[in-house]
Amino acid sequence: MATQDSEKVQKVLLMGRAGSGKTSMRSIIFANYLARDTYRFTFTVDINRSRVRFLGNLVLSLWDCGGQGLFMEQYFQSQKDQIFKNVEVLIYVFEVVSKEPDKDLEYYKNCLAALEDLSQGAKIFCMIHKMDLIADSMRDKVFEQKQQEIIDVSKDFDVTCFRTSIWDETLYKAWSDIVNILLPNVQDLKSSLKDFCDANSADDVVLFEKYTFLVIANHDNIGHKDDHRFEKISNIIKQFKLSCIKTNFQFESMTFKNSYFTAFVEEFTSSTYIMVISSDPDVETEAISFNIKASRDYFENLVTDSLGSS
Amino acid sequence: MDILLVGPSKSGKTSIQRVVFKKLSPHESFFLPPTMSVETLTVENNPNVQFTIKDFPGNKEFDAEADRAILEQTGAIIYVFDAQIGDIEESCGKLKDIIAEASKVNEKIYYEVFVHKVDSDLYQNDDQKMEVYNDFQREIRNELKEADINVNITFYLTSIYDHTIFDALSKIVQKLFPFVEHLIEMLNSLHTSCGVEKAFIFDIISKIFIATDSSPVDITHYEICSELIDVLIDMSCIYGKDNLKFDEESSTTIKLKKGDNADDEAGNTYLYLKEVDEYLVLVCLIGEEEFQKKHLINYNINLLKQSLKEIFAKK
Ligand SMILES: Nc1nc2c(ncn2[C@@H]2O[C@H](COP(=O)(O)OP(=O)(O)OP(=O)(O)O)[C@@H](O)[C@H]2O)c(=O)[nH]1
Ligand SMILES: Nc1nc2c(ncn2[C@@H]2O[C@H](COP(=O)(O)OP(=O)(O)O)[C@@H](O)[C@H]2O)c(=O)[nH]1
Ligand SMILES: [Mg+2]
Ligand SMILES: [Mg+2]
Repeated sequence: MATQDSEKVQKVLLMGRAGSGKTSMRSIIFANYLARDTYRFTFTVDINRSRVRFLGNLVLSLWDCGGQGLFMEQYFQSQKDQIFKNVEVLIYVFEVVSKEPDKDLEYYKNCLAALEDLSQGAKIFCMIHKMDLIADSMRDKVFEQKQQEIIDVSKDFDVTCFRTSIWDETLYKAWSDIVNILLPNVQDLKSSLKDFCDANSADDVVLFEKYTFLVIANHDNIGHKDDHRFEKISNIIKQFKLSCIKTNFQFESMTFKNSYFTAFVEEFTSSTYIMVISSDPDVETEAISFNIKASRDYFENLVTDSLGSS
Repeated sequence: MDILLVGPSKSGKTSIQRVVFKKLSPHESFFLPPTMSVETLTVENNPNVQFTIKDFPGNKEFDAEADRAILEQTGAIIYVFDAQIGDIEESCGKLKDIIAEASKVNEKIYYEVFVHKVDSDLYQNDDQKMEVYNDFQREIRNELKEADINVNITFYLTSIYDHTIFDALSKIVQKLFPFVEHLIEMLNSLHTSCGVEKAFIFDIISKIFIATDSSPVDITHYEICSELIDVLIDMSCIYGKDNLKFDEESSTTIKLKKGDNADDEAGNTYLYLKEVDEYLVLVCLIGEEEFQKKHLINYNINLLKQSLKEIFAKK
C-alpha cells in the first residue's frame, strides 16, 4: 500500500478566459466525461480545486480557475500568493477564435509575471484550443501564427504550445506530453519496454495510464508511419471504457485481429494498461499473453520508480 | 428499396444521413447548409444488404401523380420532427398529406416518425420525452382518423448525439429485408444452443444492425457492441496492412469483469466478434461459463455463416 510519504503532490494551474474550455478538458481527461456532455457546463465560480491520482503515487492538484473578468482581477491581487505559490505547471488555455485576443494575451502575461515572483521553476504549457472551429486547410497556419504571438510575449519563459480540441485525439496528445514531463525517471521504463518488445518480436508496445489512458511510454520496433496513433487509440479506448462503465463492467483484456496483425490490450500493473502489437506469424499469441502476465511484477516497480523519489 | 427522409426545414434530416452514413461527428452538423435538391446515398457494403437513403429539401410535399416513380420505389418514409421547436399540429397536418398521397401509389410503404433532437435541456428526463412522443402520436392518429386513412406508423425518440438514431434506423432497415426473419431464427438458436446472452449482426461500416435475437434490446448493449466495432476499425486502420481493414479473419475478444457497482449475481462477460459475410459481423455477449465452450460457439457461428451464404445465394 502507498503511504502518505511516497505521495508526490504537484500543483497544476489551469488558466484562461471564461468559456475557453478548461473545465471541459479536465473533465474529459480526468473525470470520464464525453466531449458531447460538456455543452452543459456553466461557468466555473472562482476556483475549483480537485485532486487526481495518476500512476498510483503522483497526485495532481488541479486548480481550475474560473475565467470571468471579476475573478481574474482577484487572482492577481488579493489571491495572488495563494494561487501562484508552489506551482509546478501552468496550463493556459487560449480559445483559437477569440473575441478579445489582446485581452487573452494580457491575462497570460499577468500569469507569467506572477509566476516569476512566486514559482520560478514552473513549466508553462499553452493550449490553442477549439481548433475544430477552424477549417482543416487553415489549421497549420492559424496555429503557427497564434504560437508566435504567444512566444513573443513569453520572453524568457520556455513555453510549449499545443493545438487541441475536445473533439479529436489532440487533447490526449497534449496531456500525455504534459504528464510525461512530470515523470523524471521514465527512461528506465522505456528501455525495459524495448527489451519486452524485442523478446516478443512485437512491432509496437505502449503503456497507458489506467484511468486516463494517457500514454506513459512506448517502444516502436518497426518505425510506424502514423505518429498520432497512440492518442487515437487512447481516445477510442477511453470511449469504449465509458460504455463499459455504463453497463457496469470494466474491461480486463481485449484482442483485435485481422489476417495481418494481432493487438492485445490488457490490464497490466496496478496503474497501467499495456498494448502489444504483433504481426509475426511465427509468434504464438498465447505466448505473448503469457509474457504479459509474467512481466507484471517487474514493471510494477519500474512504474513506481518512474515518478522519481520524493 | 428506398428510405425517404422528409419533414420541415432544419428538423435534422441531413444531419441524420451524415452522422449515420458518412461518419460526420454530431457537433459538426451545426455547419450543414439547407438541402436544395434531393440527395441520394446508396448503402451497399454488402451486396445483399443494399438500400438507398433519399434526403429531401425541407417541407417537400408529395403528389401521387408527379412523384409516382419515387413512391413506387419507396420502402419507408421517415418524417423527422424537431422536438425542440417543431409545431405538432402543423407537422401532423403535413404528414397526413404525405401519407394520403403516398398510400395512393404504394400500399406497402412503412411510415416512421422520428421525434428528433430530444437531447437539449428541455428533455433531461424520460417523462418530458414521453410527453411530446404521446402528444404527437395522439394528434396524428386523430388527423388520420378524420381523413379516413388507415396506415400503421411507428414512432421513435431520436438524437444524433447518442445511439438512439442508430437503433431507430436499424429497426427500419430490418423491415425492408425479408431474410431478416431467418437471421433472427438463427440468432435465437445461438441463444439456446450456446447460451449466448445477446447477439447482433451488424453492417460494420454503418453500424446499423440488420438482425438481433428476439430478447429485448438493451440500448447499452447495442452501444457497447457498436463502440467495440469502432475500436476494431481504428485498430485495423492503424495496424492492418495497406488499409485492409476488414477481412475473413477479423475478430475481437474482450473480457469484461463486473464493475464496482454491479449486483452480486452479475458475473464476468465476454464480447465476441466474428466476421460472417462481406462487411457483416456477428457480435455477441457471452457469460464466462458459456465462453469456456468456445469451440461450440465457433462451430455454431460457422453454421450460421453457411446458412447466411445459402440464403443470400437463393435471392
Ligand atoms: N440538438 C440537436 N440538434 C440537431 C440534431 N440533429 C440535427 N440537429 C441540428 O439541426 C440543425 C439543422 O440540421 P439539418 O440536418 O441541416 O436539417 P435538415 O432537416 O436537413 O434541413 P433542410 O435541409 O433545410 O430541410 C443543425 O444545426 C443540426 O446541428 C439532434 O439530434 N439534436
Ligand atoms: N467547438 C469546441 N467547443 C469546445 C471545446 N472545448 C470546450 N468547448 C465548449 O466550450 C464551452 C465552455 O467550456 P468550459 O469548459 O465551461 O470553459 P471554461 O470556462 O474555460 O471552464 C462549452 O460549451 C464546451 O462544450 C472544443 O475543443 N471545441
Ligand atoms: Mg470552467
Ligand atoms: Mg437538409
